[in-house]
Amino acid sequence: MLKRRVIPVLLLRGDRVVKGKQFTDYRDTGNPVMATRVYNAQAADELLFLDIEATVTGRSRLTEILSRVSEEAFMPFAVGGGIRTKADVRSLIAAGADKVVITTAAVETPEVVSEVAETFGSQCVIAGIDVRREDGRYAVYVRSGRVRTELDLQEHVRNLDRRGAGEILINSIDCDGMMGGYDLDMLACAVEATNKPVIVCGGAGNFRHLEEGLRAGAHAVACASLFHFGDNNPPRARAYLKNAGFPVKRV
Amino acid sequence: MRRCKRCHLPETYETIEFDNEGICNICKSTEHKKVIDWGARKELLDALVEKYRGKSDYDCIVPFSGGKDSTFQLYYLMKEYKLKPLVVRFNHGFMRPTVRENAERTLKLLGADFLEFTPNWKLVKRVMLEAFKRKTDFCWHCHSGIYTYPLQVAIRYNVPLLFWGEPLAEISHYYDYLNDEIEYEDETKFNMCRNLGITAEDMHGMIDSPEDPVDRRDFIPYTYPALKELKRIQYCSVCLGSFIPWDYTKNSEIIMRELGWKNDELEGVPLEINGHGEKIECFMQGARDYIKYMKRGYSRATQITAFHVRNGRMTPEQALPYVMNEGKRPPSLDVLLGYLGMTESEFNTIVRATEVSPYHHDYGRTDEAPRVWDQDLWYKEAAPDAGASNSRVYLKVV
Ligand SMILES: [Zn+2]
Ligand SMILES: [Zn+2]
Repeated sequence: MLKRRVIPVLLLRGDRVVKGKQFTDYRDTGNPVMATRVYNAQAADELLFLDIEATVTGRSRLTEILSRVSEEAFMPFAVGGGIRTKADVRSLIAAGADKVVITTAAVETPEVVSEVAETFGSQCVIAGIDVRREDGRYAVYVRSGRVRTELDLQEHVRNLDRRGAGEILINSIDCDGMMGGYDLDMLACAVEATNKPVIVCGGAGNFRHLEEGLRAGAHAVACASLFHFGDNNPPRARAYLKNAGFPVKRV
Repeated sequence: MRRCKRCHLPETYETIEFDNEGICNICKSTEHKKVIDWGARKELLDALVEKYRGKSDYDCIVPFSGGKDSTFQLYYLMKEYKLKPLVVRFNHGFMRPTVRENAERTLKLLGADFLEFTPNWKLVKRVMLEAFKRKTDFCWHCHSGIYTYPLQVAIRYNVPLLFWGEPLAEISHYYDYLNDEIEYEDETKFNMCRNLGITAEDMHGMIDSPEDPVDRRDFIPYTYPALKELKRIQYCSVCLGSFIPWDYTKNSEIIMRELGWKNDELEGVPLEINGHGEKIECFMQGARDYIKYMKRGYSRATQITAFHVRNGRMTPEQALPYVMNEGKRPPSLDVLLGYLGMTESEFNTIVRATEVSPYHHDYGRTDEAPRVWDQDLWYKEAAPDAGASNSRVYLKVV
């Protein structure tokens, strides 16, 4: 069985990392380079950097920060936020990223997903989907949750799968930062639509939530508040999941 | 809660894993300790000591609280190797009277130079509150300063060799004895399991604000020195317990006999199971252990009896009543609330949010641990009275 992964998420805003609730109300959680050093020491399975200002305010100093981050990160790390073109991806990979997360462009110009997958390989493309629950259905949002689309969630997942995304990152805006657990129905919806690995994000507040995510079919569980606002770290999470019967990385 | 069949540590204990027989990985790791070639390890230590002896103003630095482990470290290095150490203490602000006396007596009897550093209390209070709100652990300043400050002294005095005491393999599974490695106290270990995952750079940005700015320099004592600085002095920072089998019960007997080291009451723990002085140096220990109990359903008595069981000094049956009877509210909690400036219900709200499944704390419990003898002697600040204000800014946490 494939090893299940716990992926800390770092939201970049300017020179710092932050964490908010429902894509707003951000609190400082540290320095990106030092945070990477800490997760590296704790042998995190992977890291996920999302530049939350990139789509809204344009390219930031992301690549510069990333090259300093990549000196610290011995685990694979993915980067997202404002990626529009193959050239963007090339520069992020040159700065040390192993994978990229494409969210807004995956809706507005989905051919970018195919181009990047063809050029750099599917394993390096994570298609991101930000979701809000509205009147009993799931609406797909872009531009850091500011713009609503008319897409059907499962149709969008299938489309991203066909275009060559290696993994799907599904993130609940409603649950983000609330620490009350993942939106498991949303997750099940995505898992049903693809055979690609699904990473669930948004809402994990304790280790039981991680377990629930994996039981509901996620291949990896992403979390931020769990590690920022609680007595938790990746080794503890792995020990918990191992006791719950999941194969996890041995350190 | 599921517990180790041998030592009773529960599934909420950090990094614990159980094998098919229901025995935990920490029990397994200490079994392995018995088959390590300690003779070969001792030869490594001999070589290490000779490599550094006489090369600078001091042969080594010994970070020292005056507690049982650091006292034994110092005693062992000075008696066994006749080293000339620089003894360094980071004073976290919670030193108890007995530990001060123990430290003074030890230093006088052994004859060593001693440096003590006490950081800015106002900053300490701010980081206590921040760390408590984020991690329900108010000791970020201890966890960090104890490990960073002696390294800064090492750089300033150009003394490359540092000896720490108890190896982590004794108490958790971040490191174990199974991989036969020497445990280095390096930056990786510091970030992995010492500093709550929050570096000084992180913490500064977390509490610095335009309304209430914090001088970056106030964080220097908590900053891990740059690797290039450490390499310049060719630092070597190791746990003595990687080279000699660490048996704290025996170690305590030695320092009691040779240095007159005295045990003390430990809040919330029956004296008869703590005859060897675990954790008696910090007067906030009872409050720390209580928070752990509220989150994870076990605390110090379980950890101490687990030790005794693993080392064959207690049977699992003898340990069980202590395990079942802990978790009483410590009187030191009132002192802590004074420092944090919060009411108990605010405190409970924060702790409750980080409860570790499947433990579920009974907030209706009212039993109190006995007050330890020296509580009246501790520095105190007034706590807000309950109900006065429930809508403080700092409650905008989790
Ligand atoms: Zn055990
Ligand atoms: Zn402390």
